[in-house]
Amino acid sequence: MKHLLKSSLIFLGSLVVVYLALFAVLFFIQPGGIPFIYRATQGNLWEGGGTWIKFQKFNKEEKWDVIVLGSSHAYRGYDPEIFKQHGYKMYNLGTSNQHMMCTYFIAKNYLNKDNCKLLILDIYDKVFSNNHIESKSDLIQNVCDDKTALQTALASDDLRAINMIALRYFNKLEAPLNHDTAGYTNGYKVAAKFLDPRKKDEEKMKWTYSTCESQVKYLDKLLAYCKEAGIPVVVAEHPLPAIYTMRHHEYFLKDVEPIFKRHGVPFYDYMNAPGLTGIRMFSDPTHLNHLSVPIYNNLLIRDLQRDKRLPLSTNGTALVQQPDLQRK
Amino acid sequence: MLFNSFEFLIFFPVVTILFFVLPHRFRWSLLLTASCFFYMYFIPVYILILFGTIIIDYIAGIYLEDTRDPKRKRFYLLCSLVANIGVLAVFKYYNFFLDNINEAALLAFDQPTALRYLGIALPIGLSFHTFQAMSYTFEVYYGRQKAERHFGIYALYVMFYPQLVAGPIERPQNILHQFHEKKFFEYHRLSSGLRLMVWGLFKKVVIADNVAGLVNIAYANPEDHTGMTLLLTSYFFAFQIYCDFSGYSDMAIGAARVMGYDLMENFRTPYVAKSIKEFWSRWHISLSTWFRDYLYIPLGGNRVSKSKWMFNLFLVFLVSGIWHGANWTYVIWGALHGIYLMIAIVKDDLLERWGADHHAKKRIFRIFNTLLTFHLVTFAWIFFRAESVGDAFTIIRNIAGGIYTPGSFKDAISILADDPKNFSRTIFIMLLILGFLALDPLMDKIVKGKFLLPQAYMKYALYSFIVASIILFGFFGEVSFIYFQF
Repeated sequence: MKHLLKSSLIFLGSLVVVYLALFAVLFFIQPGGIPFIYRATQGNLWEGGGTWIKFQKFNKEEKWDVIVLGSSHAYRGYDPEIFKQHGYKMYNLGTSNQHMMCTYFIAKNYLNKDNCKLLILDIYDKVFSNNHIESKSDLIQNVCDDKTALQTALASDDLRAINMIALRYFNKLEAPLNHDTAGYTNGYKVAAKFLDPRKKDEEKMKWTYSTCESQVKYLDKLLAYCKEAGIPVVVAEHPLPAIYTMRHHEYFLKDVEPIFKRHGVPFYDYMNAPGLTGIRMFSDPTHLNHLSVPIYNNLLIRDLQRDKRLPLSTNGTALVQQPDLQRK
Repeated sequence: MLFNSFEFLIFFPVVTILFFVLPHRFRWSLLLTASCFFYMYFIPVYILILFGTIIIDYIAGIYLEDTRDPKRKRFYLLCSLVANIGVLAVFKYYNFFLDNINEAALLAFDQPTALRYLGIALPIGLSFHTFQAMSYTFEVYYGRQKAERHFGIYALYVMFYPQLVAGPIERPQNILHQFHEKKFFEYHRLSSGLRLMVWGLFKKVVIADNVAGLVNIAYANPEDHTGMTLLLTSYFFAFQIYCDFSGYSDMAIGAARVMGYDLMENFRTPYVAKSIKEFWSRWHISLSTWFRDYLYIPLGGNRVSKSKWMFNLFLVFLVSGIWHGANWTYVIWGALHGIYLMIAIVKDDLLERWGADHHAKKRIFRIFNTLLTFHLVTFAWIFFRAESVGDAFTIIRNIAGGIYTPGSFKDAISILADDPKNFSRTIFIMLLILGFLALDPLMDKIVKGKFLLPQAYMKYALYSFIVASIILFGFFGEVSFIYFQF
């Protein structure tokens, strides 16, 4: 047994040395200015500057009327400027493909009842049906809080998380990879373009919803945490093009609605919001654009005020501009 | 449960620790329970099929031993074979059979038959455990093995989790007595077992799974790809299937060795073979010896006329093709290997007549033969991997239509990379394959203890490098083992 213990320790020691040496070689070889480690390993992202910048700029000590969490639908679909027009201070902590596990750890480490008066959780069936590594990798590498990164890595049950953590600390020695940081306002990024009607990208619509146990588990944990921490939550799903397959949505609702009900969380489903499902409203097959975001946000704010989830605007107006959805 | 899953990373040490902590008399029940859990991780209800055949074979074994009447013996053997082959026929071949009947009916009567397809999934590793069970009844029938009277031990013989779903297909003489023996914890067995497992995992997640993505791109729509792309991916598949399957075997043998059980060797660097015959003595050894012992020799083997001998070989490989899967692509793959061996017999005959045997001893001929064998095997893999016979011929036609044009290599890599960001990763995967190709014969000897590293620090450095490579370069998506489907 003594021999086993001794050789195990020697092996672990030599493994750490060899791993770090290999990692360093792959990190410092940088063809095209990008460390080769990003190309040689699977799951590491060299984009994600958006995530990095939004967490750098987010101040936990400030008080926010609204904080938005969710996938790219969140950070491209909820504009702090629109909320500001109604007198609400809003910050968008949505990240690409945000897995519910990431949402849970962000909420746990960044939000509390003092800094968040309302959490809007944007939820999207395609992201929800996938146990992808992308958002975990993004968060582990780019979130500024070590605790969130380590918790996400440990909960990932994935050996690749070791590489992501290593990359996080190697990057800390240099400047963080910081592409795509322009154009963010309180974490929101506008998409000022239209979906080309000739290229509906129907390929992207061809997918099948399947329940992802991990997403379901962390959605449940997230809502339980918010309840326990006294953070009010609403869940919203933003509009999607009319060509989107409803079949997925029904399966998705079967998974999530019982959880919302159990935790008493209201669900605002705008997937088929009238006037917001035409392709002129989208910058690509699933993301809203600069035209539709204000309409959608005003609609959501109106409904939240109506249901007393948000107090009436602090600037005294019930709504800045009532959108004429049919005309749009 | 997959060997390359996070669950197995917990399952394996827990079962191994419990195994050594428990007294000997309880160990078989622990292993049987663990094996049931391992199997039920895929489709739980299929355990009932497995238990059904286990009960039939267990009873058949006892009756076979207790009966002296040859007619009755044959009857009990038949009962066992019907049960095993029956399960295979229903779950694996029924829909394929119906497909062909319907096509024939369409041609003859312009309408398919009224028979209905079975909407059931194939139980994982069905062909492996039925062949292992049949091996037991054959051996008891021939009187070379005593019937196992302990039901739990017999069930464990069929279900032993390391080799339950993809072999090696064990023989009762090799493994049954080991389940009765008291096993002690031995450090050298633990370390050599773990070394094999680590090497197997490297082959699976670093080589096979990384290459799989590239192969899938070209083989999904072969008509859209150039000869160069298809040629490259056909070579890649040769390494994918080798690393996938031999990686599984290494992990299975290693996992069993840690607990003190010795499973038979299943692969011995097959791509260095200098002939197809030698290839089959190095590739999936447990299956090729199974066919040799229970089909080829009973047919008369090579102790018959030359034409009958050639027919026997062809038949054995045809059956081997069908064993692999219910698709004409597998049948053609098996037939091709049968034809290769028939040609080899004729070739050897001619060489012997011409007195040209001494050429074979020259190094240059050995290299040529190795390359030729590898290419013949790779050509047959095209049928094995293609989705349909039509696709296989499209691949061959496109490759034959022209491989090299200026820029074709770069274009092929760009297509396989799918995204410009992945271009250098694709090149990197190719370099990994080349590195593996160069080191595999030596590594095979090292992990199997046939070549000892002179210094302990070399061992630590080597295995640290392998584990670090697994963490860094491994593909950790949900990728099953190719041979699980058989």
